[in-house]
Amino acid sequence: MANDKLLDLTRMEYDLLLYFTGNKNRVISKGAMAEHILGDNMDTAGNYDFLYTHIKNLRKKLLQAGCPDYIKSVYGLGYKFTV
Amino acid sequence: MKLFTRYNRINLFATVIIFLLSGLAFYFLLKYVLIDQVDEDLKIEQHEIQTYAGKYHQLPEIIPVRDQRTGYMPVGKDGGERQFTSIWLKDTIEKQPELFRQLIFYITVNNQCYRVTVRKSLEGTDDMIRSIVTITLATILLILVVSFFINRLVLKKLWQPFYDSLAAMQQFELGKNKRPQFASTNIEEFSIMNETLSQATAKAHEDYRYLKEFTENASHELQTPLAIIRSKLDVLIQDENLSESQSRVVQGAYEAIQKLSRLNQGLLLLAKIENGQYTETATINVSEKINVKLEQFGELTASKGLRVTTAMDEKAVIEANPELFDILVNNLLSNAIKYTPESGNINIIVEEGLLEISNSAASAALDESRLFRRFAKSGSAKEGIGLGLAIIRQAAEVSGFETRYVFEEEQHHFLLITDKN
Repeated sequence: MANDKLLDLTRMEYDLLLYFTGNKNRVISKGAMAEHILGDNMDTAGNYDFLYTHIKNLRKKLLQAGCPDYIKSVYGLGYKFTV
Repeated sequence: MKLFTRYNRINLFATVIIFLLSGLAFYFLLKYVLIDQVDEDLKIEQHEIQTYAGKYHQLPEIIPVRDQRTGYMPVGKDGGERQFTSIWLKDTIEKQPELFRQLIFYITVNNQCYRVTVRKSLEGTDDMIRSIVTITLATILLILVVSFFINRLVLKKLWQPFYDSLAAMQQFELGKNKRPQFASTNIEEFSIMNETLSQATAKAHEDYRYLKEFTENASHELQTPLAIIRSKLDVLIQDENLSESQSRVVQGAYEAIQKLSRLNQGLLLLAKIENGQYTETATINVSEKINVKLEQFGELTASKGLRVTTAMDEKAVIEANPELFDILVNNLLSNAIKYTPESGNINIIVEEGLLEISNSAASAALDESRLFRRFAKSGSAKEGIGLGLAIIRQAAEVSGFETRYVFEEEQHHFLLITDKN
């Protein structure tokens, strides 16, 4: 739920949101996020493209639900969920 | 070619050559002796004629005998020394050519010189030679056949301990607790060989165990410092004063540490599998497991635009350790997803005793002899730890399955044969 609106998230988007909220206001590296989502299958993706896609979608869904832009890109490192 | 087959061939060849040469020598010797015997008879005939002529001053009357022909021919002068020759003449009765031994000598009776020809048939001699040669050849053949079979039986029995040891060695696999058992033998050479093999396998086993222990211990020991480095880097990236270039360096270090951690975990997993820590088995429905995994990888396959098709026998089950089979299927699918080019295909076939996962190839056929080795990456391999296929093979072997790779119709096929029968 965000702003009393039900967010329709995929499993990976949900995992990402949980990971962000558990590490709010901290810089999270792309590697750590990929590892959290894919676990032992981190190498399966081959690159971080899937991560960018899911973060973009999650950000879009949060914004559509009326939330501020919580997910900030940290150049060269990863992302930060700022609250 | 088996050793005793080769030995038998050489032995047989040498025996045949020796027998042939000795047979030829025997034949010529026998012929020489028998002709010499006939020549002696002819000399006696000569002596009798000369004695008769000396006594009665005339040549003896010729009595026709089948095997002997005598003839006198008056000649102008003495032809000199007697001569022995062999000559083919027609048989007077059968009209067939027949070999004769001929003696020609000269005798003077009442001032008339005669050329005397005495011929003795060699037919009897030839018959005897033929009989002797036939008997000799038959004996040689019998000796060869008997010697061949005796050699075969004796050699087979003599070499049996060697073949037993060979069979024991063929069963031997490093990493398995079962050591080869060599049957005791009273043949010294084989006994020494067995002892040497026992010592060598024991040494190899021990070395392998030490190496495995070392890998396992090193992996365990590495975990803590790796975790510390990661947490320190995590603290470091929280620093808002990091410049862009510093951030890139930290990110690079973070990714390298992450890869090292995964590598470490892979080695630990391999060590666990080798140590037989996945022994409990259960009946697993293969298609159910595949469906669960496909759901887990669903978003990943969708993000790459991969088309996954399945043809699964829903009743196909296997007996395996659930955790190990999960690792196996996971790695097979993960491998297929990773190496399938975007918008490519992945096909999954599940049959009783077989699981096949094939994917569109972005590269040419892979070298199967190296494919399942640790850290053996093909030229096109993307960033990975290089243990995925090694884990697959190890997990398959421990589960009693067989892994195969086939490249067909521009697709990589990975086969897991769960029922070798």
